[in-house]
Formats: sequence, C-alpha cells, structure tokens
Amino acid sequence: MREPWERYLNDVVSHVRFAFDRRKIRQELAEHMEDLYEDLLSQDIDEKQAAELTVDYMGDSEELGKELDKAHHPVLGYVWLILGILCIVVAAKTAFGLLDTGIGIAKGYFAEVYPASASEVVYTISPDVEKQVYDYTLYIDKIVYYEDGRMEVDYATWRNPFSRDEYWTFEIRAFPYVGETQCYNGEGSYKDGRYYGKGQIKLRDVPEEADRLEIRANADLGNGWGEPIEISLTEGRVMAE
Amino acid sequence: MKRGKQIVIFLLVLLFCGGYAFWRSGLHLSPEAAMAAEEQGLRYGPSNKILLTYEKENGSQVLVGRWEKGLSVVGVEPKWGIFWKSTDLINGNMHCLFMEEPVEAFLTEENYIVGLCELPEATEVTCKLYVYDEVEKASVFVKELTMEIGEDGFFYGETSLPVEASTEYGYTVEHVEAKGKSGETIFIKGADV
Repeated sequence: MREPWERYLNDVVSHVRFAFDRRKIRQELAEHMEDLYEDLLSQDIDEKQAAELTVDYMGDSEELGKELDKAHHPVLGYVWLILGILCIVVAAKTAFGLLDTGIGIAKGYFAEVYPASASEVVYTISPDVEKQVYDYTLYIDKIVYYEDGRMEVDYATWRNPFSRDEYWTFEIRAFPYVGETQCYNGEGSYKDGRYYGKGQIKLRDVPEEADRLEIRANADLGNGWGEPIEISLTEGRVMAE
Repeated sequence: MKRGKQIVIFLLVLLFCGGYAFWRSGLHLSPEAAMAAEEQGLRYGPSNKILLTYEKENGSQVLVGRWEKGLSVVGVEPKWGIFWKSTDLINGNMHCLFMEEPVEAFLTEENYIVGLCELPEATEVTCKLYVYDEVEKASVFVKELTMEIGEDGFFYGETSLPVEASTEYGYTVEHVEAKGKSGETIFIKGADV
C-alpha cells in the first residue's frame, strides 16, 4: 500500500535541486499524507481507496516538486549552508577565546602571593595607590616590613583586555629611601598575567628607619610612566601585635 | 524561521565574531596604526608625524616617527594584502631615541642613521660609527657620514657596513657634530671630542 506513496514522494523530491533539503521535505510531505490518509479512513473509506485518494489529493508530483524547488532555491540553500557552518565554527572559536580570557583573568585574580619572609612582621601598610600607565592600571596593594629587614611590596596590574596596543610585559622596581638617600639598589619583579596579574617585589636589608619608597617602571622605554610613585613608610603603618 | 532571516542572523554573528577576532589579532588597517599600537604597548608616544619610511627586502616597512621626546623606529609588515602588523624587533631598545642633547642620532637595524637636531642654525650633521672589536678589545672607528638636516630637524642617511665575526656586538653612533651654513661647528659630542 505504501509503495505508491514512496514512488510519489521520490518523484516530488527529485525536482528539488538543493539536495540537503530533500529529506526534510520528504518527511513533511509524508506526515501530511499520513494526516490526509487518517482523515479519509475516519470517513469510513477502505484502506486501499484511502491510500489512492491520498496520492490524488496531493496533486501532480512534478508540479508540486517544481513549486518546492522554487521555495528551496539551491543558491539560497548553499549560501545558508556555508554561512551556517562558518557561523558555528567561528562562534565556537570566539566563545573559547572569551572563555580563555575569562579563565586567564580569574587565574590572575585568585593567584596566591606568599610572604617574602618567615620572620616576624614589624608593620604593614595598605597604601591604596592606583596609577594608570597607557593601557595598564597598577595597584600597590600592600607593603610588609619584617624583622629581618626584608620588605615585600605586593601589587597587581590590570590590562584592558580590549586594548589594541601590542602586549609587552610590565615590570616595576622599588627603591627605599632614608631621607634623600637611597638605601637599596632597588629590586624588580616580573609577574605573569596578560590581563590581571599579581606580583611581589622582595627587598632585602631595608633599614628600619627607611621612611619612603619610590616605585618606578623598569624598562620603560619612553617614560610613559611619568613621575615615580612615592609611598610614605611612616604614615598609615599598622604595627604587628 | 525563513531562510533569508537566518542568513541575516548568520551574517551578523560572523560580523561580530570576525570583528572581535580582528580586534584581538594585532592587525591594523594602516602601517601608522600598527606603529602606534607598538609604541603604546611599549608605553611611549605615539608618534604624531612619520618622518621616514623605507622598505626592507622581505616587503616589510620601517617607519621613523617623531614623538614628544624624540624619535621612534618601528617595523611593520603587510598581512593578507590589506592589513598591517608590527614586526618583532630584536632589541626593543632600538625603538626609541631620546633627545637628551640638542642633537642625537642612532643606527637602525637596517643600517640607516636617523637623528634629530634641535638647533635651528645647524644645516648638516656628521656622525661617526664605531664598533666593538673582539680582536682589538676596543671600540674602533668604522666610517663617518654627513647628512643634511631637513624639515623638523630630522636627518638620515643609509650606509653599508661590513659584517665580521669579531664585530658581532653591532655598530653604534659614537660621535655627532652639527655644523652651520658656514661650516662652523655648532654642537659636538662623542668619541672624538
């Protein structure tokens, strides 16, 4: 009984030039024919006759096929198919890229910074300093001075992820002073983290009477940094208990 | 949804993703934009005027620009026929020439001497190139070049230099002399002073 239906459907879809739509068209037509058949059966028509009438009611297969071919034009079809595939690939790549950026930022944010010394803390300063240098923002988070003369400067940098500037590392150096005398040659620190990263400068043999710290850019070719950051080591101290 | 509408949506998605990819790619629409991105990445400039452009054998270009505190030299290369990207330089310090004196000059990787003269009465500059010789264990004189000072105090000259194993440290400008119209020395600094 179904054989005439199969022949009819094959004949219709053979006129649809965009081959990728043929299966879907065939399925839709088959469902429509099934509905028509059930409807005829409900009118107490016998199965054989209902099946023949179903095919008749669907109309001329060539005419229907050509109408469907117009609606599923191959040029539009191939444009749709190629753009659709490209879209999936490109969107997936973009999504992974955004995810990678997000993971990078999160890694930098949650990175741990360890104490620079095992000896007792003398004082801590939270300078709350922020400086903009082109597409970087530098944050000086904390300065800790230890009994053994070590000093740590904890900092973070944030680079605009949408910046069009070329990526070059951002490195700073810290110089402690007693009055106008620089009492240490300065120590630098390199930190990873293309967008958000935490770093620490470790200084040694810093005298207790050191009263200010200068933070300068290392390897800043063009002095885009401007004036160094000066942080008082006597104000805002929180002495350790 | 109609196929036509879906195609429009696909195109919008491709435009957004393509634009994002381009934004992050380091590609630019002009050599000057690529240069500015390199300069700002190194945290100086950008150059407000391009004073010299020369081509390298591989099709890339080197741009010499004037920025607030001196000269900037950046290499850029074409990508895909319409875009530009800065090239990696061997020594980042070769980018910048700071004007610490009224006349400064340095040698680019492609053996161009480029420099600036801030003395309005000067008309020409003579630069002497030296190189550290491993055999001599000293800087030795190689050659000198005299260049006219052009607009904006910019001067430049191309020179060919021998490459020998004992001189792999590279050549440097170690003597600069600016002269006026009558040939009198207006400024001098460096190895032969």
